[in-house]
Amino acid sequence: MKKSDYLIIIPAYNEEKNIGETIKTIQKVVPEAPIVVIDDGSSDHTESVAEAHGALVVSHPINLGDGAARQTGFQYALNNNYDYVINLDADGQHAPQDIPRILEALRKEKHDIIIGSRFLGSRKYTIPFLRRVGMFIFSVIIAITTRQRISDPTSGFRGVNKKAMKFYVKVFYPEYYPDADVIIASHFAGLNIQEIPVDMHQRTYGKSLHSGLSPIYYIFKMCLSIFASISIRRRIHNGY
Amino acid sequence: MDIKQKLLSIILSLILMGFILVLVKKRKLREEYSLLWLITGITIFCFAASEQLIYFIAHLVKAISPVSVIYLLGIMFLMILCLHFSVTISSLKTKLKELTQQIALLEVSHKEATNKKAD
Repeated sequence: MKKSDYLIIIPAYNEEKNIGETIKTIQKVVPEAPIVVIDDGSSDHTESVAEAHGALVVSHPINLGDGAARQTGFQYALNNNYDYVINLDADGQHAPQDIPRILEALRKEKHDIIIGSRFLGSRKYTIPFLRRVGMFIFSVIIAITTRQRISDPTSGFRGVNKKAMKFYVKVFYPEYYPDADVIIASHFAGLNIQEIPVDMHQRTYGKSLHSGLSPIYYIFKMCLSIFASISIRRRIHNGY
Repeated sequence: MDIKQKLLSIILSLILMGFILVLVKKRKLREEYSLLWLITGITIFCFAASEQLIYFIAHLVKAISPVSVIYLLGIMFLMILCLHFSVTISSLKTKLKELTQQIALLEVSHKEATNKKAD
């Protein structure tokens, strides 16, 4: 692995068509960055394609969920003493051109968590109605519980420092959709969260995690998870 | 209750408890999961031995028929059992997640060490 103080992690599940291009694009922008793909029990050739493009692959023998894959990435980063982790989706949605700005915010502005928001920039995004409603509801819940406005709670484009990583490797971190609940729990843990504008694209191939009926399950699961975080906020604050 | 029905219920409850104890003895059923089943066996035995108990509970809950009390208790038992298994599955899933993550991380550190040696 290359020597750097930060690591790029990409959780991937059956992303053989997207992963190669995603890695190539990242390498063009930040050639010094070590890239770790967490293959979450894919049944296609995600692992071999990622390795062929020069990424290190951590393979889950079975599918656990995108949250668990991210958590494995954080644990790998801690085991190997990285100071920062940038999380990107495997489908090429996130523009690597924003990585240096996220890193700068982590290093110089001393934030613990940086969330890349597609809604803070000037570009307009078309989001399916049901998902837009969900995002609005969770933004309001976050604003009430944390007294901070987060415009893009479902964004997977995030940068975290070691303090946040240490918090995220604990049992509470959800296996699926670590979004608004994790933001709220991070706030209770005393982590400093900041959003910066980023560019996002449509995924090239395959289905998104939020397709079909999954938004309904998502809202239900997220509400329960937020309720759990709020009810144990003292324990979270005291180190869980 | 007819004496034959009473005897049959007592024998069935004793068979159930005996079977559970054999399963525990053979290590096919863990002690913590046998508890609910043993409580069921004891409850059936008590109801069979004393039908007054069923009438008493029926009177307490104002049930028209004592049979409905038996159904109610049966359904309640099954619901508790389902909840108990859901809790167990959740705990097992967390353990499975941690094991899977550890295996993946160990495998990659082994791969890295092998690559270092080869270099």
